[in-house]
Amino acid sequence: MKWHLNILRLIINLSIIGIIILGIIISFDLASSIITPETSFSDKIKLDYFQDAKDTSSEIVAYVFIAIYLALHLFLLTKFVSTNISIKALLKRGLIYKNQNKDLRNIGSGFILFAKLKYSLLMISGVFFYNDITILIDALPQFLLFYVLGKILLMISLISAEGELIKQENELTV
Amino acid sequence: MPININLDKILEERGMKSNELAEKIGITTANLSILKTGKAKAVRFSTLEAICEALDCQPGDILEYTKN
Repeated sequence: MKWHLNILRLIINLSIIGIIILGIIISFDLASSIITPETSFSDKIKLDYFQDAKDTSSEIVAYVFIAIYLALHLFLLTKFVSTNISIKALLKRGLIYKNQNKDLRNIGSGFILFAKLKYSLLMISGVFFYNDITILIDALPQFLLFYVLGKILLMISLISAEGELIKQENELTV
Repeated sequence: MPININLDKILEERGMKSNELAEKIGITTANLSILKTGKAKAVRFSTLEAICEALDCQPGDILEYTKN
């Protein structure tokens, strides 16, 4: 079990680093576009996120899009940190620990919320502001990844709640 | 819980101490305390049998049901 959990922790730590790097890159892009206003930030967004776009939105839409995008990834970062803490607890306190189901439910529902919000953001921005209908398909794999992961975690949290109850009963059986 | 444990009463009647009983039936004093205070969720038949044997009593002498 320790081996699998350590691999999971490694993947989560790499994901945390990835999100931090993404956040730095986005912040840098945002700052450079504010410093040099002659370059269109909307064009940059189009190039990075909506390659098949037929239109370019206004600058304000691009700024709102990137702000929400950044906020969503910060939210995901908090969920990854919670996952890391949960795995640490698993390693330290055993397979079933107190309040594990609450932790897992929190992480699972967070992943589902992130998946839905990110897909909605890309869909609304892509379809209504950049005229890019292909984003509906392009954003689907990541949406499904986090959505299914969240659902699996919610199912595990239910199993964990049952396990916690059985463990408590077993400990209080004389 | 409507199930009461009358272990203290029986122990007093027999002039036996809790740790003595715990040692006789092979459970820890902490577990016996859980049983005595009514915090236990379940009692194994083997534990009940050992208690009855050690205290020379019936399960009904230890366990008592009272309506809420």
